[in-house]
Amino acid sequence: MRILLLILLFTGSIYSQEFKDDISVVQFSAGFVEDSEIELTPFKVYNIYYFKMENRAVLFKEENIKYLPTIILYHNGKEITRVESGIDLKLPDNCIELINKHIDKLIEDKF
Amino acid sequence: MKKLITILLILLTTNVNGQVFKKIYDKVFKYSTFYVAGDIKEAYETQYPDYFIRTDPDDLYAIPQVVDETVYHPFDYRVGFGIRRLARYDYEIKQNYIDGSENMVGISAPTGAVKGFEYLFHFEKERERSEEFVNSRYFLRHTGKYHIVKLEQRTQGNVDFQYQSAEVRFKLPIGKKISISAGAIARSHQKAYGYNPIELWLNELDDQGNPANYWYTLGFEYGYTDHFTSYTDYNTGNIFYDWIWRNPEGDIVAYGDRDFRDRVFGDLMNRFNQERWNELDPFMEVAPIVGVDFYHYRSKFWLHAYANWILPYHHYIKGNEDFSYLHRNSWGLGGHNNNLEGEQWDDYQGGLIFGWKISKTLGLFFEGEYVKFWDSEIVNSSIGINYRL
Repeated sequence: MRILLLILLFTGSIYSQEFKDDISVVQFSAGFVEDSEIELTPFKVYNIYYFKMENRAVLFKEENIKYLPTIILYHNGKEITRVESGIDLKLPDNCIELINKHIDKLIEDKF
Repeated sequence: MKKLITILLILLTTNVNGQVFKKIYDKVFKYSTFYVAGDIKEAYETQYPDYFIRTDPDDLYAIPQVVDETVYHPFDYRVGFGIRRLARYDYEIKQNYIDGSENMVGISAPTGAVKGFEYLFHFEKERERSEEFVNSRYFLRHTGKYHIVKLEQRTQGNVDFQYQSAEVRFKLPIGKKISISAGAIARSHQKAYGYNPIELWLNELDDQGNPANYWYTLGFEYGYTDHFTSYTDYNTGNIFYDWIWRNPEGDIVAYGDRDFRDRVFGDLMNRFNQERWNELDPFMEVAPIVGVDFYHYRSKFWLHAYANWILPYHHYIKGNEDFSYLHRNSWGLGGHNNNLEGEQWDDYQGGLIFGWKISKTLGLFFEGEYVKFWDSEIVNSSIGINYRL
């Protein structure tokens, strides 16, 4: 039992980046581009997260976020794809489709 | 105008139907695989051939004929077909093809590797050591954020095993990695635990306290006959007496009671028990179940732990409860002790899969599962260290 608890603590401490677990869709944004954000509800069966630069500046640096907003798809800790906004601070219209395409591949690989 | 409306309605309906079918396809059939597969294997062979000697019926001491009695089996085979939509956990290696023999963790673990429908419908025929069997496995599960519904049926012909279960659970995720669940499970078992018909029959007493059924009378029940005979020892002149036993066809099968007991009686006892057990209907019981599931995966470290506990509140809904596992200790030499309550019990199932790639060359792994259902205990585990040069 003790060993199991230790392992659980170990996994929790080393891999604290929970937002990258399993299939996760994360929107990195900021208050001044709120209008350009998209709803991640089409991905609600997976993990979805919204991060604001004002609150998670370090994380934005760690994840090398250059454009706002940016949507990143993670799978088990790895970045699968990122969709970035352009100069007009808008995400591409097919943003959801692009992410869905990658998710489809990830799911397909499980079967 | 009417035509236009009709056409619009047809188009709309077709479109709606198309969307519905697509939704059903996506949720139920997408990623499923239909397969037909089989294998052929060399049959079991004894290490040394078996021989016996056939003697001359008119002259026992003439040179006998040596006969090869070794059983040479034709090749073993397995051929089956099915449809499968079972997601693998990330630590499970993806196979290039499906042949129906895969044993995936997702079937044992309370929750699946993906949400939604998962199923396996597999049917196969196999031959093993010249005997042919039919095996089947039907599995259907729907996992949602807050629920698990699971149906399972399994038939394994070569071990005469049949199992059915149905469960419904409420699931509560705790964070992203842990979930606990609670609900009810219905399970079937065929075996009448604790009930040994031959023991009861042999220990029955009449009014005077004498055995009601002398052991050898079981032979008579199955058409065997005995007749008294005498044997003379020519060296000493001693005469002794015993019973010669014949089978229902009239062939001599034993030259004395002890011989009959040692060589024939065992099979008769098994036959008697099997016949009595076959008279009983299969059992089905319902009980509450709780479970916990932890899953963490990264390419260098993964841990999947799960446990199910079937609580000691079993209620039989099918089969004669007196012969069920609830009354496994209610049977003694005098028959059933009429303990109406019976004795409740706990059943468990747990698994742990752990892997750690410590460096590019060194890795540790452990995989284990423990199941205790009724009086059956199954332990499967493997542990190891890999070091790549």
